[in-house]
Amino acid sequence: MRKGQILVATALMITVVIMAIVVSVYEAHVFFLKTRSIVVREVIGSITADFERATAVVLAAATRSYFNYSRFYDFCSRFSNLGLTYGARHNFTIARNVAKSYLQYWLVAASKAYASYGPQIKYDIGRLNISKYLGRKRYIYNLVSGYWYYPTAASVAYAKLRVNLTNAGFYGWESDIVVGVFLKVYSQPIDSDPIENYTKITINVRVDNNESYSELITKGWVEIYYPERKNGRWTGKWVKGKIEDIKYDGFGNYTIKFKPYVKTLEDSITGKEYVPLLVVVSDHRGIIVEALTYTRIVFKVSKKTPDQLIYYDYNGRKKTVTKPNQTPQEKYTIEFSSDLNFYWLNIELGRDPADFELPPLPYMPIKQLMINISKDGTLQTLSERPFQVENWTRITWNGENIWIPYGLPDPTIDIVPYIVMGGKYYNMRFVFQVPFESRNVRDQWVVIWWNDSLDAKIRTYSTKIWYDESKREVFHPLFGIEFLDLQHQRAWGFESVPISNNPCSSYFDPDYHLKYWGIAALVIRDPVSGTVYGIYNLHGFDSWIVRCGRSYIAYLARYRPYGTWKIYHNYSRFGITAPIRIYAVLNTTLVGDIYRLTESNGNTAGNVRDDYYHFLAIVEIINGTNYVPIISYVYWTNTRTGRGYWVAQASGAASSTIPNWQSTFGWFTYLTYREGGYQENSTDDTPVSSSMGYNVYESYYPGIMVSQWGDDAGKSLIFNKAILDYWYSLNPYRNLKTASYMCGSVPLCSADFQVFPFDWYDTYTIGAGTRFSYWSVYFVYDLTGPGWRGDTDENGWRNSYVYAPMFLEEYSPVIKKP
Amino acid sequence: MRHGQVRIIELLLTAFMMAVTIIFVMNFTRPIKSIYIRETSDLRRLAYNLLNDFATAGVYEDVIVQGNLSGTNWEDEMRLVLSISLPPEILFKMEVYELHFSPITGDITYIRLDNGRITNLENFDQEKLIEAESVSYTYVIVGEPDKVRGTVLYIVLVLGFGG
Repeated sequence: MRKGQILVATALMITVVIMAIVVSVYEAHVFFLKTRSIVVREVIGSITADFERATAVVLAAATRSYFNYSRFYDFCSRFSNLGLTYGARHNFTIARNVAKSYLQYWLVAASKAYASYGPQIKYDIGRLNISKYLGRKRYIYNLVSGYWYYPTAASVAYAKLRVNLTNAGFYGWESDIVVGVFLKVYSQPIDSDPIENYTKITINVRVDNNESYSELITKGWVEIYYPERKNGRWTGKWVKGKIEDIKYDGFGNYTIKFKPYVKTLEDSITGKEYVPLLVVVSDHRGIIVEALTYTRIVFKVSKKTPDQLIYYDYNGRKKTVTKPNQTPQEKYTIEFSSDLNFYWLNIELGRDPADFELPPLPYMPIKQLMINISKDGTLQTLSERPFQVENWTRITWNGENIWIPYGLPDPTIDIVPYIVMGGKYYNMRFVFQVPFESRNVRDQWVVIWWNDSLDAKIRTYSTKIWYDESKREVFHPLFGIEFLDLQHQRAWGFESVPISNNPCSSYFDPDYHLKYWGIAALVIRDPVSGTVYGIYNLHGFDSWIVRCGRSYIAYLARYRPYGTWKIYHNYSRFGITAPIRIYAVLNTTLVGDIYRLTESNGNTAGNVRDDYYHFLAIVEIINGTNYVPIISYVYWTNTRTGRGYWVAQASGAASSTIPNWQSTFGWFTYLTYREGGYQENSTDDTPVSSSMGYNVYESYYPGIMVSQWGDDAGKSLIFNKAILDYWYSLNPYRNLKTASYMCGSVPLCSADFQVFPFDWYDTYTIGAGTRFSYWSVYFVYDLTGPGWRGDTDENGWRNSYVYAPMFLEEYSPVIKKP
Repeated sequence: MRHGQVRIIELLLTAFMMAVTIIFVMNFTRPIKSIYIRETSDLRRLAYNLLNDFATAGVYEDVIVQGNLSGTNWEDEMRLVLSISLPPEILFKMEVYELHFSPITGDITYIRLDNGRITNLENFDQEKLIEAESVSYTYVIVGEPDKVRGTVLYIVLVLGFGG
């Protein structure tokens, strides 16, 4: 081989190598062109944009459903087959699942639509911090979240979209998808005029990645609600304001002028002013957000009970008795109605000052609501307390408007300020307890506030009261109350006790065998052992006198209310026990002659009648308290004459420590009405005890309280004052009476209150049309221990007396402006 | 300088010149397929941009949704919108489907909404096109009215040049 050939061959080889490299580069260039040729950018853009739209739709469905499913039924019901039903409208977990299902379908659809590109589309759920915008620590998590009811509010969906287009060799596309509406309402109006009757406010609307939203007027909408005002007060209802002008000021700011003028309030804690408004905004995609100009409702509950009380002893000497320093039993069960009134023992509470106004509760589900109450009257001790919600209605009962409860609502429904339907007025009451654990604390802070998260769960609170349907009994740590009525005619455990139809037999008395034939009454029991302490009879008129041999027996309180209790003990949809109180309502037009019913073995003909009186009672068994209010309404349909009229008969002691009736030493006392020459709250010649030789003690002119007690516990019946005035005016002889069967000598130690006393020879007449309402509070007490004075023996009653003013009208708590 | 060294330098120069020449030729000469690829990709890009623009402008709600709800001849309106949005020499055909999801079976069914006349060419399917691209597109209706909000449209748009 010649010398030059090797060189030429080497040159060719080098050239071939270079060419190979160049061809590879060329291929890469061509590949780039191919990639560009299938318009990756546009496909990715289309997929991303549609994912955003799909996310917006599910967020719109979740928020519209939460705000008002009925109003947006056309839209929300489209998702009902995925689970977004009317019943689930306030369940954001379900809304979220619906959103995920919908997006899953969308993923399938998009994958098919772009199949030629070999798409792999998925989304990941992440956490997005939106605290900066809201001004409080909040995150978007699990795809969709909403934070409403504050001056800054947001409805947002967040996901990370991931796309591969495998046929294009395009991998790893990621895009943060933030879809949402942010609303800020400035709490103070920029202008308002009561004469021109307008208010002007500013709001700021942003969407998605905090972008200013400029299309609110053209493509979205805004609604402003203001508190309805009737008869000079706010009713709790939100009314849509008439927007007169909206101006876009740029950067998402809008100035809105609307009618009417709304007065400004002040936050009692911060001192900041606000005009109570509710603002709802929707963007063009249907995403809704609801904001409120305030975050809480603040007031104080002020107790009015005296620290020192006066009474007159059996010598007529004036005595004072002082409350103990610690007063844990002074706990008020207050009702705050959705139409902005307060109640205690079903009477409306006063305000201080009288024109103190509270803004409405937000338009939101009940489950959002929470209540904080102070412990020692300072803001520092505010802490969350249990509350329950009840349905109430104002009915016309025999010509009189009265309020009665009719159940516990579904806590996921919206707060309804009031509804007028079929001549009836309905509202809700939020029931909470305000404790005054110390004598020196006179005011307690109450802050009603709300959870801004649409994920708010139903609050459950522990309680020590519960209802046993099989026994028809409500259990309280201090007692059990069994409800006798048509549905449950005999006390449990007494099934085998013989019943005699012979009124001369000792087995005849219904209080012996506890067969009540449909008469409505309460059986008070030991909550643990079930031992019966006695019966609480609500009402009774006339007596049945029978001759047995040479003597006569008078069976007292003959005509008693006859009917069926309705017992409301839980949020029925969820089976959650009412945490504050369980209550029973009896509403009947019938009375039963309990003795004739016994004699005739339950024959109702002529023994159950509708020509005496109508009777309505509300009994409350309240967690954590010592009292059972029994609120009663009576209306006489016919004029009747009879021997004796009882408005309460309470048998039994009040504690499991006194179940042994035969040996327990018992005391009785009562406080007089200002009649018969007595001072108000004189003990007459009591206290008396069975050891003093009394089997039965009877006396006249009873007043606010009668009480029985033993070695370490007792019970009192406390009546409201107004009814005493009425009862004394009803009785022509003004000789009201109380009687006590003393513990220790008869099986049942009872205390009663007679408007017309029983008399063998005399009768009284009650005229048709007589009507009255009253409450008797069954108050159980200990003699010693926290909250009690430690008075024993003859002074034992004073342990309850110091708490008695709680139940008198003049000492009702007052709602005070802080 | 020795004779062999010059040869080597010549050799390297020759190889370098050959490589440079080929690279220059490559750069100044389009790949054989690139003309075709570039022109059809433009059609696709045009199609997607058009569909995205329609989405942004709310055309689907205004034309397809309102047309279907009111029972008017929305296909003509859509054809008009497409005609004025596309260059005159481009032929088009659009098909619109509504997607239905079955939560029970998980199936998706396509319900055709148009009458087959959203096109600027009679017998579009029988015509011979020089170049054509078909793109498919999904659109979730987000605008009003509420009763159609959330409906998923599946849109097929074919663009091409006539033969």
